[in-house]
Amino acid sequence: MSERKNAAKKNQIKRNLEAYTFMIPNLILFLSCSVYPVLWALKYVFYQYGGYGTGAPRFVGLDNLARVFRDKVYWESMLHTFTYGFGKVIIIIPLAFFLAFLLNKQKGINGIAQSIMFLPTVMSSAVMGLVFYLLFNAYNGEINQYLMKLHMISQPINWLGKENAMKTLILTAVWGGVGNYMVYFIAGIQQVSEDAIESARIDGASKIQTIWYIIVPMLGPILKIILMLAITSAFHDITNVMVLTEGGPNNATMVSSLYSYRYFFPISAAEQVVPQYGYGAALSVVTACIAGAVTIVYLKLSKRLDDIY
Amino acid sequence: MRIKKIVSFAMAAVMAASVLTGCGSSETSSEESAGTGNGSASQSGEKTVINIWSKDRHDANYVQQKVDEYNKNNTDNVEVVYTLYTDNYKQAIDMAAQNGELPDILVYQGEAFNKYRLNGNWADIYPFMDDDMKEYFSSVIFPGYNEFDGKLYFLPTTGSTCRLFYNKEIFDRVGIDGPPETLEEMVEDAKLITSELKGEGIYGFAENMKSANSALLRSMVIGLQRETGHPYGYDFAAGAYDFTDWADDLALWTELLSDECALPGCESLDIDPLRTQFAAGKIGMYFSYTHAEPGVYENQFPMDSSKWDVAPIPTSGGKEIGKQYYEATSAYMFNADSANLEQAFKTYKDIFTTEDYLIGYYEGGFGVSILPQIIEKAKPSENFQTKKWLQVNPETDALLPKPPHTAFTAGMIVEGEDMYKTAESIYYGGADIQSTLQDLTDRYNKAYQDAIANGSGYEIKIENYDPMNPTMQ
Repeated sequence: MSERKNAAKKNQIKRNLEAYTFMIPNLILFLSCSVYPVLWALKYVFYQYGGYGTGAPRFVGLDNLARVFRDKVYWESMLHTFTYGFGKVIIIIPLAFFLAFLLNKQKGINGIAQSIMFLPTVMSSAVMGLVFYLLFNAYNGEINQYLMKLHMISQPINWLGKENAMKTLILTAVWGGVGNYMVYFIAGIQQVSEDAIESARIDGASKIQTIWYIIVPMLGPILKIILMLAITSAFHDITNVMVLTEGGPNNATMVSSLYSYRYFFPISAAEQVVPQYGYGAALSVVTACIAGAVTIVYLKLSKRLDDIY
Repeated sequence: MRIKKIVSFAMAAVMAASVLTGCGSSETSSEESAGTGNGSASQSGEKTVINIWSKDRHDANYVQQKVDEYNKNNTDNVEVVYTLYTDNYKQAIDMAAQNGELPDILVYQGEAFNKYRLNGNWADIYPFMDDDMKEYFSSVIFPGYNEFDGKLYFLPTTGSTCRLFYNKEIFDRVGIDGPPETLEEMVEDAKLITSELKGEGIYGFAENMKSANSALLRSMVIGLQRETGHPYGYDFAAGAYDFTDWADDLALWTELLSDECALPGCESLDIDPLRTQFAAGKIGMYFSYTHAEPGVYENQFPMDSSKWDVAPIPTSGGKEIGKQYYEATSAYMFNADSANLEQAFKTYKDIFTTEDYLIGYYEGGFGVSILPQIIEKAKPSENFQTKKWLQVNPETDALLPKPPHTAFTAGMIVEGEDMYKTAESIYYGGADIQSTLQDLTDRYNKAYQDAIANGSGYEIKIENYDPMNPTMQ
């Protein structure tokens, strides 16, 4: 009896070995590139450390975490993160859906149009940040010049000033991300059964009714993923902000991830930074917890999107 | 089935091997790249390779030309590899120091020098200097600046400080006689220019306010050194921070950055776009460094030299109770762990300390010489001959001691925003000046005292410190 058991166990191990061998490469990468940095950050939450050449890390207990809760600028940056994320999502989702619906059929110039719309996704956001700076700057930016030529404005708009910087950032984020979400939506739309659309038409549904009552509900599962990606990406979208405004003016566009980043590295060549790895790690951990909580709440609220009619 | 199994095992083994090979190859490449880092010069063929890192874009062509000449003519069988890092110089040094891959020679960078000097990363160059060289450079050896405990770490040959740069043509057009002598006058001049010439896209004032730190370190904070005698808000005599005397300047700066005076979009302006606008005649006044701007308007964004001039940074009410900081530049640090340290110093001496190089550097407008022998012999460009405030002036400029937050940068952790961002919260955020500056003073003093208490810092106090005749220690 026990011999049979042993043989079965050996067989099991053999079978598992195959699976584990396949997993090893990814596991190594996952442990070294994902788990280790997280553990590193968690450890330094309890230390004050300025990096190599600044003496040994000093244990400070919960001081860094307590400091996060006293840090007004951080909580303002969290508010900006929500503004940025919310602003981006409410524009980008309908726009991406509209474009997907428009360019869904593989005919005419749709293929080229899809590629053009997708292009910003593969372009370097740092380079695009610089291009947007040239377009939006108040003193000789192209946007102001065109608007003035068209007599839509009489004075240049300070697009990157205190009042408008966040709106401009959202606009550039929408430009950079809409192509990506459009592709997700196209994939979703192509999964919608032609029979369902045909039945709706036979029943006399108009085009808008077909979209609203047939296509949109059937996109539920993919919409859930798109929304989740849009929300989570808002928490770590910093390149654009870094190049365009560096979080300014006066922290008006400072988002939480960029604020944490500032404690590790200078935002720009002109910036001087005193690295505070411990405090930066504490900020990152709190930000990750908030992002996690938002994701959990979203997943609970979005359960209905899984139900395909 | 068996073949399938063998194939799957083989595939898995290949994948695992590829990951490990990936790791292995990076190790190899880091060894191979030791020639460009790793502190030591490596052998490339028969030649000894000496690596030099620089952060200076403005003199890169000149230095590269001299390096090429040296590579062609030297008899030591040395090949110099000159690498320019601009935006990421400090990070490159940090990474290299951490990995033991520092190059043989590096252009001086204050923060990196302070940070790694105590770690022993920089070499004492006295042992390599003969008596003639020591004598020649005796005027640029400053205890507490480049010489510590009898060890010399670098030799500055030029100096730079901050001044007001103004467009004479714009001043003439609105009837302003000369540069402002007080900050109040400057605000008035900026208002006048903006109100008269705004229609033509010309504004009274601009500064690269995208980074508060970069902007204020070339303007207000330097002017305040003369105005208050407290460099960077630190009272060396009392051994404590006091930012409350920044109040007048911040009130005036708030006006200076308002729509009445400043170029629209100053909040997001970088220094190069600012310079293009100044060269295009759209800006009346701005502050910047004396070593950089002449070269910029000669080569980068050409501007007729007769159209612009330089003046001291105006202070509130014209108060002047101290000297302002000048930075000794064009200096090179040496990697103490370099395998070819002696050769590295000889190469440095042969390229960077010859009179031909130093005179050419000054005459080319890449930096203002602080060596009396060079000043005497050189015929600098028109800018340096006609604009006297481009020179380091002993009446207004001096080397200043380092306050605690610079002396032990990482040891003093200030909770909340630093002095530059705090100033920004006043001129762009409308924060109350008095209470904000008091809070800033309290936060810096607390951080300083904490640093002393936990051993990451030490007391800095200079008895009988005279701001007009500052001493380094």
